[in-house]
Amino acid sequence: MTAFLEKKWSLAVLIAAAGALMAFVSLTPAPGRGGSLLLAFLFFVAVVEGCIAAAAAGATVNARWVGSVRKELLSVTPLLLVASFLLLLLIPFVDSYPWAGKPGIWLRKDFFIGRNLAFLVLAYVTARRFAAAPADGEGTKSRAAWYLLVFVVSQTLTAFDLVMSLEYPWISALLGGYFFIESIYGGFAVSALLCLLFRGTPPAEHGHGSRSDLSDLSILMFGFSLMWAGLFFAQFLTIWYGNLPEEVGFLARRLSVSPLRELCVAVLFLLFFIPFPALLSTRAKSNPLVVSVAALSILSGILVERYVFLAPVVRFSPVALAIDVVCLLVLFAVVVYKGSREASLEA
Amino acid sequence: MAGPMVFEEKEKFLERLRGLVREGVPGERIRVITPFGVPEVEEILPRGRSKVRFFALVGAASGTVTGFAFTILTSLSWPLIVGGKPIVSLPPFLIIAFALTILFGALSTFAGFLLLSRLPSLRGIRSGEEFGNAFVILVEDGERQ
Repeated sequence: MTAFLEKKWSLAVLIAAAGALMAFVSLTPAPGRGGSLLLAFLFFVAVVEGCIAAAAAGATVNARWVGSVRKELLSVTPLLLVASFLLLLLIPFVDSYPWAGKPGIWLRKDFFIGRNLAFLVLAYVTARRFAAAPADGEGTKSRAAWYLLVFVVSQTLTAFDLVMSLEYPWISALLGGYFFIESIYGGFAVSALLCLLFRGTPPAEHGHGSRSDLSDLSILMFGFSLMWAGLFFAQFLTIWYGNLPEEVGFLARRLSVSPLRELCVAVLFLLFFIPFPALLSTRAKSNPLVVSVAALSILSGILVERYVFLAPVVRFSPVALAIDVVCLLVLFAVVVYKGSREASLEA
Repeated sequence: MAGPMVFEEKEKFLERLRGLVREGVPGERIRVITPFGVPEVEEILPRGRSKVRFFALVGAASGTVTGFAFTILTSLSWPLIVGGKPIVSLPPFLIIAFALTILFGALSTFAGFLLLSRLPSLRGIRSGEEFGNAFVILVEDGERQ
C-alpha cells in the first residue's frame, strides 16, 4: 500500500476512482442520493477550505505554529478540484430546490452552479499560488490574503446558495459569516490533529515564551469556540425575539421534532460546551488527549450541524452517504500522508 | 538579609544568579532589582502561577450571578409581557449576564493586580535603597538547602 502511495500517479488514480464511484452512486436514480452528496460536499468543502484558510491566516500574521503543519495543510489543495467535480454532480439535485423552474436572476440554475463553481475553481487557483510560495518568501502574505478573500466569498456563497436557498424565502444575512467562521474553526481543529499526528506530543513547557505549537492551536480553537457561540447566539436571539413567521419557521422545524431537537442541542455541545471548558486551562491546551477530543468534537459538530440544516428539507440515503464520506476521507488521508512525506523528505 | 550583591554588567549579574540557584538557594528567598526588564531572570527564577486568576474567576462568576439576578428580579418586580415572551426570558438576559461577567471579571482582575503588586503603595514598589543603573541581587535570610 505504501509503495503504491509513493508513486506520483497514485493520487490521480485514487481521485479518478473515488470520483467515478461517487458519480455512479449519486447519479443512480434512487431517493436520497443527491441529498447525501450535498451533505458530504458541504462538510468536505468546509474542512478542505478551512485547512488552507487556517494556514493562510497563520501566514499573514507570521504565526509560529504554521511551520509545523504548513505542508500537510496545503497538501489538501487538489481536493478543491474534487469539490468542484462534486458540485457538478449536484446539478440534477438543484431541480429539487424550491425556487427551481421559477423565473429569477440570482436563483437560476445555470447562474447558481456557475458562480459556485467559479469560486471553487478560484479558491483552488489562489490556494495553489499560496502553496507554491515559499513559507517566508516575498509575496506569500499577499497570496494568503487573496486566498482568504476568495475563501470568504466561496463559503458565503455555499451558505447562501446551497443551504439557505433550500428553504427559500427564509433568509439570514449572518449565515455566510457563520459558515466561513465555522470552516476556519474546523481548519484549526484539523491543524491540531495533524500537529499531534505528525509532530507528536509536545515537550513539557518550561519558562517564559516556550509555548508549544499545539498550545497555540488550542488557544485558537478556544478563541474560535467563543466566536462561534457569539455568532450562533446573534442569529438565534434575533430570530427568537422577532418571532416573525417567515424567520422562526426555520428554527421551529428543527426544534419541534425529535431527533432533530436533540441534534440541535448536540451541536451546541460539540461546538461550544465541550471544546470551551476542555481547553480552558493552560495545561489542557498541550494535553494530547484533551486537544484530540476537542478537535474531534468540533469536526463532528460541523458535520451534525450540516445534517440539521438539511434534514427537514432533504432526503438522505445512508448507503450513499457512507460511500461518499468514506471516499472523501480516504482522499483526504492520502493527500495529507503524501504532504507529510514531502515535508519529511524536504527536512 | 545578606548585603546586596551589586553588578554593573548584566552578564555577571545573570551568572551570579544562576550560581545562587545552582548552590541551592530557594528562588523565593532571592530578590533582584534591575534597571530594566531582564527576561532571563524569569527563566532562572521561575515563579509560581499568579494568584490574580482567582480574582478574575471570582469577579466573572459574581458578574454572571449579578447579571441574571438583576434582570430576573427586576422583571419579576415589574412584570410586563413584551412581545408575547415569558416574564423570565433567559436568552435576552444572557446578554446582560455576559456583559457583567466581562465587566466584573475585568475590574476584579485589575483590582487583584493592584493588590498583589502592591501598586497603590509607593513604598511597596520602591526599593529602600537606590542602585541607579546597577543589577542587584538580594538574598533574604534563611537556612540554605
